[in-house]
Amino acid sequence: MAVTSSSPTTRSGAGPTDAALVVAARAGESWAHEALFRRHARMALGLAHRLLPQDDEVDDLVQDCFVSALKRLSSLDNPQAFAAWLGSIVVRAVGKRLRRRRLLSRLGLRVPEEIDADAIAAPSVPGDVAVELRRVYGVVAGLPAQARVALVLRRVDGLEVPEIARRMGVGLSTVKRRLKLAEEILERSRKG
Amino acid sequence: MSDQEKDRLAPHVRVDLSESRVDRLWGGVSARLGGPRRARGWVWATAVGCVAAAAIIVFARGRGIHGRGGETQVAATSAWEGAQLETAADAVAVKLVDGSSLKVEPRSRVEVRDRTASAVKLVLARGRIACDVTHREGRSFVVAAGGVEVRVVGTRFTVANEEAQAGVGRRVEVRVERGIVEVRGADGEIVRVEAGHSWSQVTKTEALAQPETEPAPGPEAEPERAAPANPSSAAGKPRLAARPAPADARTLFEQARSQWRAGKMADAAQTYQTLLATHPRDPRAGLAAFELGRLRMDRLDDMPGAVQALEQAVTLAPGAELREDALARLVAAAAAAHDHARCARARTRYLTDYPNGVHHRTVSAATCD
Repeated sequence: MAVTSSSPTTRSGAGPTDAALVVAARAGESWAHEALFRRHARMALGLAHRLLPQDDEVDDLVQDCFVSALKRLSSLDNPQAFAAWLGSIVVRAVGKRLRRRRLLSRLGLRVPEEIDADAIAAPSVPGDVAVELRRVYGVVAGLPAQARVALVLRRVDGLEVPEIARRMGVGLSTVKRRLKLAEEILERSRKG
Repeated sequence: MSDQEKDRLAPHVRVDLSESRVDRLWGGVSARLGGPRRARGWVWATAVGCVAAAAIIVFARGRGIHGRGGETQVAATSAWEGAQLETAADAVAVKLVDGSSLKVEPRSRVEVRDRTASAVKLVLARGRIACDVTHREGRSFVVAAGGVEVRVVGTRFTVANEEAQAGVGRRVEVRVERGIVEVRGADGEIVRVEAGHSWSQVTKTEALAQPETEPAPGPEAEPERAAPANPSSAAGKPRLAARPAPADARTLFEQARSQWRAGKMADAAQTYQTLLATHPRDPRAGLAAFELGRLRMDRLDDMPGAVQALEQAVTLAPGAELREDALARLVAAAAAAHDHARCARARTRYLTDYPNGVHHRTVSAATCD
């Protein structure tokens, strides 16, 4: 099974499932680790970037998440759910990093984060989408860590509340509270 | 903002998802999976004091290599892919962070062909290299020279790739000082060479920097001898013939993977077959059968062979997940082989066993008659 990014297209389209790769990786096959990484690296990178835009620690964070996931495959109950599991690892790692940064900022040990909201959108994005992205990323730097993560997952990734709760590892009501706070701030910025 | 609008925001966030970035990240991840965190970047430290920095030339065909001569550090192992280390009049010693060390003799040229921490592959284009390799679980260390591959577990040995006497072809010699190495000759034969012994072969091939996809030299290769490394100590002793040893399942599996990656599809299929024949009860057997089926189906256009291998995979597959993939492929392979009965049987089996399977739609649409 080719693990390079240029994996040949198969006749049946039936490449190995994530579950098969997880089984092989658990058996110690290094190629399966690489296959899982290459299959999901862009998902993890994209997610981390949306949560931590213009951040030079994203690569480190994504690497940490993959290392953690690939070393703990035995704790994954449903091997086919590797992608969702990895996504939750990324989300929680981002939350943790944001909380630590906030503490450092309060102690004066770190310059508060600045996000250039105008540079978030890719070139040739439709105007209304660019406006919405600017609006969301214009407020996220000032939000509490968990409210920020919840807002991006809801507004940018378009996830429903139950899925956000699963990714963040918290209850539905907690997500709703955090979203409410974030949405209020977003709304104030719209009016202001 | 409507739900529809929300859903379309994520794809419009500017993110660099380039292949080179993914490669670089994998370099870091694989290094950390294979060893301590600091292994994410190899430190190729030129450690021989008598060697002038000018004697060392590091050609950076790869990316992200910082430094030239002296101490050279890279951001990730993948950056070394394609890098070449060439010596002029002096030898150079190179130390890897895992404790392994290499000594590249004068007028030698080594290319780093593999890029992950779980698999190191050096190609000796010319000259001589001495390796003192630290054993690391899950990491393969291979030195290739002129169609010959030396696979290392944890040992000290020398590989030489020099012009043969009379100037015809190249002579590759392997001398083992400590431990055991496994040598795969240009003719494909695998022998084990123990400490205190050497092995050599003359090939007529041009060598060594050729791409791995070059066909094996086959009959042009002529095994020469296997003898004690120290000729003086050999007096009065019979010469020790290098003993062919059956490779273990893991070695065969990794070998097949390497062959596949090198584009040697027929060789890879043969190696998988050998694994299945010699280690049918190994936990990898199911996966090997599945891979053999994929190989025959996608690359060798051997549908009857693919059907046979995939049926074996369905039987041997250790987990239900792999079995599902194998069964789905079996349907497609049997259909392509016009084996209508097998196709229909496999399709029924899949749809019965995996009513909500990930390949349900593909299998349902397969034409078996």
